[in-house]
Amino acid sequence: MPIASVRTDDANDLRRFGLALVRDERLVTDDQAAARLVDKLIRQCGVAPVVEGPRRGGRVAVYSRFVELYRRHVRRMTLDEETAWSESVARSSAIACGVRALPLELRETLLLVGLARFTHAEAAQALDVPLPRLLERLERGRCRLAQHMGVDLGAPGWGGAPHLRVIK
Amino acid sequence: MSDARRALDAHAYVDGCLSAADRDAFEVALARDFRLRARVDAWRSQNEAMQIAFGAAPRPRVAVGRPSNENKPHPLALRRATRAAPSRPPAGALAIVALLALTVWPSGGPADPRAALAERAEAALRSLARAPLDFVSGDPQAVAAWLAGRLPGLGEIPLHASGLTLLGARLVPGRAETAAMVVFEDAVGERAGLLLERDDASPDWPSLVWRSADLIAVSGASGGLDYAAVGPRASGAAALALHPPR
Repeated sequence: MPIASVRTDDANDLRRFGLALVRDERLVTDDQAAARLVDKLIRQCGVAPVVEGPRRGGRVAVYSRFVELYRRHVRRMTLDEETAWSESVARSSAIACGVRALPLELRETLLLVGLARFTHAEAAQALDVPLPRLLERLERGRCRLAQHMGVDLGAPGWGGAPHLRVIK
Repeated sequence: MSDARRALDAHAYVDGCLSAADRDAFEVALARDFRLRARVDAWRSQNEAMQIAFGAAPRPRVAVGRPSNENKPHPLALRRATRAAPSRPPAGALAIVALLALTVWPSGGPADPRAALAERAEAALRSLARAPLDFVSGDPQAVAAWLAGRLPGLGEIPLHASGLTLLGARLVPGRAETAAMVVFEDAVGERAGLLLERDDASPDWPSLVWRSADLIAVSGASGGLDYAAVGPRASGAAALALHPPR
């Protein structure tokens, strides 16, 4: 019995987000492997796509569950210190390579906001982090991605050190 | 307003998370601060590039000065045009052209694939043309050889147009497979591009011209190759199309 149902287009969005999230330069460097992992995680999420019907309010919960399952998967994996090489990575666009090179906490934040189009509050809820921490990750993720893309962010003081600090 | 606060607001502005009052206040700051504008542009470009790279429909871009969360159509969205259209048609003319397009492609009917192709080329040009190229060369033969290694079965492609300088090429996400965009620069430093994508199942489509307020595009398909030339209206980018529009 699925724990949630989402409309087919939402399910496609989740799959697209999942494929972007799980592809990295260490664990999953192949499109087919990424697709298999995402399908498995979506099954574990207990999400059943429906063609019609109202949008449920559980979109954040479903993404949150997916992210948690993927984090567990990453923790279980034995990490190989040597960076994997993949033809498909070499042929990917610069932005995709940049996203994949980000640490998981920055990648999931950036993809939730930039790809899945969550509001900042929704993304913070899905990742179970306070809003200031989400914003700090967003700032770091975007700055690192800009550096990767060779984008000049203006005079020093803006593009260099992050401006935001997490105060515990 | 402190730098830290503006950095926060820049993210919220780009992602449509500011209230109307905060948005207005931020836009005042934005108009005065070129560094802030550079950041906002960078974050927007990242969002758009991610949408393209990972296969989602790009979020409509909002011009500075417009409410960011109203989800209005992109003011520069390409519209189908006819060859007889004047180079700078009034706004009403664009509305008529859009109405004609809706008549030809009614809701629920098959969409003209050339429209999606032109939109992908426009999005790629806006988002990626300023990003580093995968292959940098001003030699058409060298670029053609590089393309041939990545787009199997690619025939001879003319990579020149009057007034445009060849810069190189980069791979971009395609509809089904990887596509390539050949990037050019015009006399004033604006970029133009030729999007090429193999699609053996695609029937031949004659070239069709699309125009927005600032861009012109020509898209079509021939011999299993989808193509879309796009660039500033004054750049002569339309001449990059593999076949001239009828």
